[in-house]
Amino acid sequence: MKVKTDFKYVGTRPIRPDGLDKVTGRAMYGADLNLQGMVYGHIVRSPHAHAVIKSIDFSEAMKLPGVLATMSAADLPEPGDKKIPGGEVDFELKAFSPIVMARGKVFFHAQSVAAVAATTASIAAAAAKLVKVEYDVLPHVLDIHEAARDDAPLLHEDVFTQGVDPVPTRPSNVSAEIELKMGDLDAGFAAADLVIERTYSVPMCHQGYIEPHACVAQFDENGKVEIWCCTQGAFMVRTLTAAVTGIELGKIKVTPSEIGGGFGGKTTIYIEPVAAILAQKCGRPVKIVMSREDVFRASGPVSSSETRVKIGVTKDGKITAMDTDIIMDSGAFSSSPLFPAVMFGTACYRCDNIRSSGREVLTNKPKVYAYRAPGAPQPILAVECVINEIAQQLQMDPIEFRQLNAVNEGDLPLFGVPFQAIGLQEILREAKKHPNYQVALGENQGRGVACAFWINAGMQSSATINVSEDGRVNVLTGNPDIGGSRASMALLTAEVLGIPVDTIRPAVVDTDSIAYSDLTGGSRTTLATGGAVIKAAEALVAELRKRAAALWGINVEEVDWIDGSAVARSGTGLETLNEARANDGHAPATAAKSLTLAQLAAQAGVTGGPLCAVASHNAHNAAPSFALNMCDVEVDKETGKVEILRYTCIQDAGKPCIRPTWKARCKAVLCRVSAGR
Amino acid sequence: MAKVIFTSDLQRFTGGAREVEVAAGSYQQLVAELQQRFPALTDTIIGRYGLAIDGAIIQTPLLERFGNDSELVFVTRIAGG
Repeated sequence: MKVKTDFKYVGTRPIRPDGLDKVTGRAMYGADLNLQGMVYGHIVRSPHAHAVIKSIDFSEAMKLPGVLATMSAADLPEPGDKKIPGGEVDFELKAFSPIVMARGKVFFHAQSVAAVAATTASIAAAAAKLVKVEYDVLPHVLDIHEAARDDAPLLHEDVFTQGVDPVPTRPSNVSAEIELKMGDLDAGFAAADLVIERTYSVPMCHQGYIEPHACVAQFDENGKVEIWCCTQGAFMVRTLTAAVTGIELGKIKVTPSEIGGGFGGKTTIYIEPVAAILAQKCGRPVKIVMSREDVFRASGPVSSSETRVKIGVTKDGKITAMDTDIIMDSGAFSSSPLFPAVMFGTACYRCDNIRSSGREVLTNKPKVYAYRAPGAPQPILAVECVINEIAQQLQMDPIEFRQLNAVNEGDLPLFGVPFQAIGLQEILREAKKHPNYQVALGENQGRGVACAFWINAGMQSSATINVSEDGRVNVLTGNPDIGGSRASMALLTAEVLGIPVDTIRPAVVDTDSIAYSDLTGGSRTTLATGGAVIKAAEALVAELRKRAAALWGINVEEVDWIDGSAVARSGTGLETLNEARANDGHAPATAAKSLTLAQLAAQAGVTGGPLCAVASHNAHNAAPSFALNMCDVEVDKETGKVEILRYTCIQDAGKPCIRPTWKARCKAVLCRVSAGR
Repeated sequence: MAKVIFTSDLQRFTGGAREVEVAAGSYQQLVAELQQRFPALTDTIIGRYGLAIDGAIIQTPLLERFGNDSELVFVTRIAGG
């Protein structure tokens, strides 16, 4: 396969198409939309971590002037055993529906129990307090070790541990177990001169996106519902809302707003089905905005975990065996990234003898969701700490130790697929010679080094490109722009069409306006949606060559597309091309046998109609990412205060579409690190 | 013959077999052949996995084809954030 390495637009620094709206405050976020006649929804949340709902009485709430509608799980279909198709995996509806509205039982504090809609937000909040919910409080369990005990309060009668033989007949809070292994672990440890075993815990934490969840839903007379919301995936909201509410998927249109951060936390729904049902019941648009407190109490954080790591090495620093056990807290429903944790915790190192096991445990906490490389950071933290300790005991430089053991192309990780071209050794080489690594440490100062890994994803995306009569190009995609994807889509289009990026308008559109796209997450958007954009742009170029050939009365094979123009391969066209190349890439307007995109667009009406192209793409070419972070800190021995002196992040980023955005993402990672995440 | 490698979690369903050769040239033929040899590899079990063909992980391999010398690995489908 020929790999393109010479780019004109990709890798440059365009002005972000969304930048001006965002810095001036014009950009519309989830809570910014207001519709004529709109009313406000408010959710009643459980004060208990585990309880049976005996009854819900709306009578007092309905007496309050301004209250228009109420809802509870009784307004939603029974989830049964229905599966919901997901981007990568299928989900069980019974693990989603109760998060939107508890059915018969609450499993965590602040779980949604009921909702009201009223003419003002304050009336809705007052009415919510008048909803009488009668509970039978049950014992709860918050700790993963306690929850895994046989005598622990049981969350679900129908959860039996998956992944063990024989299948248990008794329900359990241990919802899944998995073990992966290769080689001979005992022999690996027997060959080791040094074995270190440690256990590390990572607490539950929230993704901490700036913008709370917010949405507006509106029903029309034909039973069609429109939802505007902040989300990582408009199509995901459509799929899940249809499944949870029973509203036909084809009758739901979702428009994603700008998004104020997600980091994996907006890969699901909380309030959208509630707003939809309330809007249906009261016949008015309904807005729901979660408070910051509700976001922290009721939306899904990342799993807490405990990882035991045991690593054996020879005295000359070769890893002979790696053994890890991880326990992940999934909250009240199975949702933790257990498999990635087991699969990827040891991925940075070449070792013939590896075993990794995992247990997912349910507790009376909010159901967890993804958070940046879900599942990988927890075990990698533990592995990297032990690696550093081994290097220290062997009196080896921690980067040199990693260079000795890091995976290369062809090496087999625990998840079974040999690595193709990867960049971990290059990262380590750069780290070793980085000036920050050469700085001598002073008193009470220390240096930490850690590698990281993520598999990355591809999946489905679509794109539409149309050309206006003046030659401006509109690029439509269905992926909410979290980190600058509109600019990336514009650059990719510019690269294929050979036109300046500022003549391209990228837009993120609603679910009725474009074909399906999986959500923005898993580091997939530039790869998969960008792939769809490239395909659409290539199809457009093919059409433009066809139109030019028709105008010139020659075969399409005789027409090239160069630097934003159709150029006839024979006669003056090639001369024009040479001129264009000598003229900073721009073809002279007077060139014969050359037609610019704008000229072709102006004649589109007589050459076949409007210029547009649509493409879909299922990306299978995601490559894994590796990184190395190193941090120097100084500890105040009297107060315990830790000050970060310097932090260096080196990533194998593939080919960044926008170099400044990629740098900004690295900085964002550092901000989160320094904030203690 | 293409080579199929089963990671240890799937070896529960293959009677401990780690590696087999198959005559199949497509994903659908592969599944049919494997299910004939290992009935415990049900559609539900296989549906949890994508397929890596010569190192490229494909989450939705239904229509994929591969060569006689391909190396195939079933990889758990995962959700990203």
